[in-house]
Amino acid sequence: MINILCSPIDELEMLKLKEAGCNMVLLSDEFHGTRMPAFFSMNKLDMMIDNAKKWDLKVVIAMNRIYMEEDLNSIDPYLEYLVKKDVDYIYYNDPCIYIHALKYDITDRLIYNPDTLCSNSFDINFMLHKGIYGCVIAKELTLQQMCEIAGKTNNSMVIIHGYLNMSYSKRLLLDSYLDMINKDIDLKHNYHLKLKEATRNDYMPVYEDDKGTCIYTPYVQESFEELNILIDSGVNNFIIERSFVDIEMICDAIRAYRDIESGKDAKLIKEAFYQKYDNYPLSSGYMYQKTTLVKV
Amino acid sequence: MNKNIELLAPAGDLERAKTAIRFGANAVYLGGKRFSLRSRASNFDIDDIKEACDFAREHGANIHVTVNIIPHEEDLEGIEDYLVTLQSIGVKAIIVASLSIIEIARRVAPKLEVHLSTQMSTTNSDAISFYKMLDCDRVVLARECNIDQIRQICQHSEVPIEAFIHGGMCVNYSGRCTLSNQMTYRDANRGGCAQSCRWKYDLFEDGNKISDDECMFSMSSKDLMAIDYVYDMMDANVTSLKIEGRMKTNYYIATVVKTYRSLIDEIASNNGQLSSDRLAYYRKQIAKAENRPCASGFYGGMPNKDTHLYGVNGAGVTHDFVGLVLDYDEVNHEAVVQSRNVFRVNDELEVFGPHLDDKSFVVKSIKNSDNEFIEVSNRPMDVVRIPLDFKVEAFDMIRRR
Repeated sequence: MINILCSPIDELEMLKLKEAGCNMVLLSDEFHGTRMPAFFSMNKLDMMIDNAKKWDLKVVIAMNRIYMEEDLNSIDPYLEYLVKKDVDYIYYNDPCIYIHALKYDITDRLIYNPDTLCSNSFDINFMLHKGIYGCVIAKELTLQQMCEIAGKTNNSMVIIHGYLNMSYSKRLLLDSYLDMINKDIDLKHNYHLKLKEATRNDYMPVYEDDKGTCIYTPYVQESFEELNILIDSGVNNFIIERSFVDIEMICDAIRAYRDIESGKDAKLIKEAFYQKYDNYPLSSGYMYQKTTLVKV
Repeated sequence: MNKNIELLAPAGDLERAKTAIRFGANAVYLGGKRFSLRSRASNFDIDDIKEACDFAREHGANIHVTVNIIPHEEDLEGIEDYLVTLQSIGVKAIIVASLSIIEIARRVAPKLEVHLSTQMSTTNSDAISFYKMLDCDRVVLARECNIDQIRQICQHSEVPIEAFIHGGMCVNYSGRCTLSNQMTYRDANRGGCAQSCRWKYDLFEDGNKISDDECMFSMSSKDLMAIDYVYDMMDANVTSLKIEGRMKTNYYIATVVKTYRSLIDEIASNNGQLSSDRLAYYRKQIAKAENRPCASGFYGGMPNKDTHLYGVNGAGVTHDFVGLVLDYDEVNHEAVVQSRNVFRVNDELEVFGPHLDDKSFVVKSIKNSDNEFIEVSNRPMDVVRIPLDFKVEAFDMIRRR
């Protein structure tokens, strides 16, 4: 059975996700994770981890911020806590986490997700040989490229559903802009903001917190017809992005992927999903679109 | 204090590489035809790289080559032969953004230094420890670090540090952005960046437009200018100060390199930070190149609205580059000048060069290549003669005051 990973915003959602067929949850505290649909206080995180384990869900913890020098002292105590809680995996972006994980002999629990950098099997295998569990394949690759990489690597993970992060700035871009135009908008936990390029008609979710500003694709990625192709190429771990969409849509998507995994007709399932969720800009994203054009 | 700090300049072609070295760069970085970002920079073929290396060696400088694509599966074909060739022609270092390219370089071209690109967004000393494990020789810091963080990193780092001091800035963490992929199908991480961050956007909340039509949202950062922080970088023992801009002009390279060279030398000689008047002088010198609006990036703290551009994005020119000195006729006291932009008799110009600080003069007359007096030099690349009562050298540059 494939692993499907998603990020609940509370226990109720965690149960809904489990019932839909999700078997891995990605959770974050308020400091070490970024670009998550929810950030938990330590008490709340403790409860979420305990409940996830009680419900037989594998626990992945997000430590995917890019750490500044003064942040480094916070890593060891948190890793000690995560070891004590016996979490299954740690999702990281900054290689400083690898150095700290060595101290606790938990590099085999690390999942490397540096957004764009895992774009070939050579770089991924380089990290796997360092003893980590797996890598998240860069999302701007085509289906063919992802399959080629998956066929040459172990435990590769692919983001198959949801709005995809396109950029991560340390700058508080929204805060600066609102200051510029003298507008006062509450940005805290504000998942209702979108950008539209002046000459285009699609809307890109944008989110800002004290770790910076993130912009997402104007479409919701779906991979119904591609799931079994990816499984056949060796991918066993699939990620569903939770941010900016309703939990019902996410749960329906997970159910659909489970049905497809069990052999049901992906084309029919996809058509039904598109019909039911015609209010979302669903797309196969870069699956069949290379982004290799060059201005000459 | 690192008084021997390296000044590292960009070059888009051989002429600019030589200019950077003549005007005081200790090292120049450039891109080859393959494996490099900046596809629109006029990248070097192997013969050009070799000539740059030979020229650099003659002048006590070094050449670094960008091998900084974030490769896809098929992009690594031929990389081993390429790295072996770079090593054999005298390249000092490669700038890399791929873990497997580091490994390949170490294996097939061990004499090449491996410098980790800013594309890897390195912001702390423990990340540097990881790259030390991979035997990297230098790490280029992310532009998101402030000056205190750079000091701390230098204290704890086991690897020499390179930091940017001038030029364009990615508004996002470098190497992690796919805005260009989405907007134009051009991959920023393989040389195709369309700078979509600098475009104009409307901002909506719950479907209601909240942006201002007269001042739309944009992610355009002002360019970096770190005149005020060069002393701090030297004091922190940063190894190399890097200027961005492989697509910039020859005149821009000369102006910016000359300014930072003089600044570094004056700080070293002064053994401390310069006065506010001297720093103001250097800011004024930098402004003579065609810079976009500048700010100090993250060095002084988190950028705010004043460090972003919401209106004009383009470069402003305060002084026109009007001519390149080819020779000086000591008998007739005339400069032989290759014209680059229009200038006239009675124009007030200034000349600067590797061994000459700004010296102003009035154009008393102009003679064309047929030795005829003309009132205006208006054909770029024409060779003209103008009287000068002080000596200038080949490759000095003349600009409008």
